[in-house]
Amino acid sequence: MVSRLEQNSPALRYVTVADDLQQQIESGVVKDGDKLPSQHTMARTYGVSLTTLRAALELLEQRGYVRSAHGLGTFAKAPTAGPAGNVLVVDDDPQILELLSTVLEGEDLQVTTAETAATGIDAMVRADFQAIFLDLIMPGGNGIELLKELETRDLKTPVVVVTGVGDSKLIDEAMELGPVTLLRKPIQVKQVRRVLNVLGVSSN
Amino acid sequence: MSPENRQSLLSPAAAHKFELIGRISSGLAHELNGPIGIAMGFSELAKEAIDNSGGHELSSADTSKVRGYLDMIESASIRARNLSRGIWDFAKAEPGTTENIDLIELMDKVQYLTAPAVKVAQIDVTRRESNSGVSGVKSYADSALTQQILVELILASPQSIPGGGLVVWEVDNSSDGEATITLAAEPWNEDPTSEWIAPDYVRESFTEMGGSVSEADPVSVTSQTEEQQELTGWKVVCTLRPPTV
Repeated sequence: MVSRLEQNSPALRYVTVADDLQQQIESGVVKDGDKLPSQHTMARTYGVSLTTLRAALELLEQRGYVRSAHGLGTFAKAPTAGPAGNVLVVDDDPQILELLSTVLEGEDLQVTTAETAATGIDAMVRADFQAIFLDLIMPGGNGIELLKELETRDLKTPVVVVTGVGDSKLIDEAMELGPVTLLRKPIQVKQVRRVLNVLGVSSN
Repeated sequence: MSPENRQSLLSPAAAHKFELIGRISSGLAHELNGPIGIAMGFSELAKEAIDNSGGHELSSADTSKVRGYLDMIESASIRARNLSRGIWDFAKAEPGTTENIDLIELMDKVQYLTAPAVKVAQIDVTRRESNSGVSGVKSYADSALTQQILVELILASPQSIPGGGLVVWEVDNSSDGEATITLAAEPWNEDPTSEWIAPDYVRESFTEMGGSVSEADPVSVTSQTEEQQELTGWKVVCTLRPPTV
């Protein structure tokens, strides 16, 4: 474990903690399957609150670097994320697909788009993705279908749910299927970039 | 006068219209997030491109990029305008004028108004070209009232396809010259589970205009083995008077 974090670190503290843990897993300091110290111990080590530590672990789980076993603790895990820079965007609005593609391609990411949940699932089956941007309300099967498919296949691809204000019931359903990142519509470009940064999605 | 008393003085169609406006507006409010986000997003990208030029004239590649962003902003703005104009036109249209109306044009408006509201129930509204290939079907009817009762019928469709599906509309002329609008609710996956029930005033309004609306009839196809009929959805046929010469 590393020393306490700089108190004035400009990055979000839970992201910094997650980045540090991820680096330790990638470099082999913490090996695949190793049990991580208790949350209290890690919170003390990093000098952060339990809430911040839990947010960091949740983020790492989204990135595919840890898995939590209820009552047993948190374990390091070799990441199973897809090839770097490959992102899937699922939305029934072609103009939103165009906007997200423009922003993501501007970050040198490779974008695959799908206008329905069914074509999104089809794309997900054919290729690995580093992240999925997913609309919830779509005719012909909503985004929940895709999340269920991810769960069935035991895929840990980070999902960014892009949704409007009226979807709270669907958001609840989505969150029951695993950790997701929420991006509210109307979409803001800066927020999309911040989410990429937080999830560690990049072309490298 | 209390809102309840005021409402009781209205005709059933007028009383239901308030409720319909609310339901359509809720869908449109959600739908508006799309074009607003697109306009905001591409504005951000356009400003970035200009800021990144460091005060110098944009290169021709960047100019073309910014031009593309502005085109997207324009088309998103037009989409937002059409969405708000649609609900405005619907709200202010008052029944009472009977004239020759184009039913395909009217159904296009009904589709535009209802699609965002039923999308929440995973339902898509779409047109199917009639077999006769007619390009215009006219009827002598009350445009505002006809539009309202068709909106009501489509908004009632989620009852028959609770798991989501397609509402397909088709406009045609019957053999005796009447105009027909067929609405079919077709589920995506699950079996349709219940009938398609609209308020009584819908049937009464069709009758008052000299037309009719059928009960929801199950639509079935014979399976490939021809051993059993498979239920594929529900169908409602609306009939309206032919146009006057």
